[in-house]
Amino acid sequence: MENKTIIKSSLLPNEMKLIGAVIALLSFIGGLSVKMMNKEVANTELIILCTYSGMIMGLLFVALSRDKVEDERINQLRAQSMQFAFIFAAVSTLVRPVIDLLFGDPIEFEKAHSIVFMMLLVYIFCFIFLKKRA
Amino acid sequence: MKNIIKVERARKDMTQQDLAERIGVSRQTINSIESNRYVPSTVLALKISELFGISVNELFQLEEGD
Repeated sequence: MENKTIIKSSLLPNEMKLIGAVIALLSFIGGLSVKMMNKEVANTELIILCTYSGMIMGLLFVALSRDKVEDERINQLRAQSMQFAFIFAAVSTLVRPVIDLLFGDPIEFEKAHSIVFMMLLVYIFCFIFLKKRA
Repeated sequence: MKNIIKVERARKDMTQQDLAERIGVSRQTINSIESNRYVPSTVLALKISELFGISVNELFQLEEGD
């Protein structure tokens, strides 16, 4: 009579957490070093895209990896963290242009990559925080 | 919602880890239930009550405001 949700049944093995963290970190360091070493890069957009994609892939692995003991409390914490990350991203997307307007910055649409990256980051930190607190 | 899991566990001379292993959850989950930070599902409540040999109603009691 185990409660099998979509989240629970589609989780990756626990080892993928470390692999994901390494991918995210390497992508970040790679993107940062290219930016710092070569100030006049022809394909800046492509480098940003690759960096974001690498970080998103890494964070996704971390977010979707099983815990050592995956029980109903962990499942509930995952759901709470996802809920918070979703609301945070929606509010942030709404508030960002207002802040830009207030400070006189040019208004820009949030790019899909940055929204997804933010959601994953918020989800992971929220999950870790809830796990430590509980 | 309060519970007497800690008392029953002490009566059976079990650690949180022992109980966790017997019902297939983490030790942190048992700790959260004992300190009323997490309300277990019906399935988990039934598993715990069966292990201790008492009813769910005896193991878990509603508090004012629940």
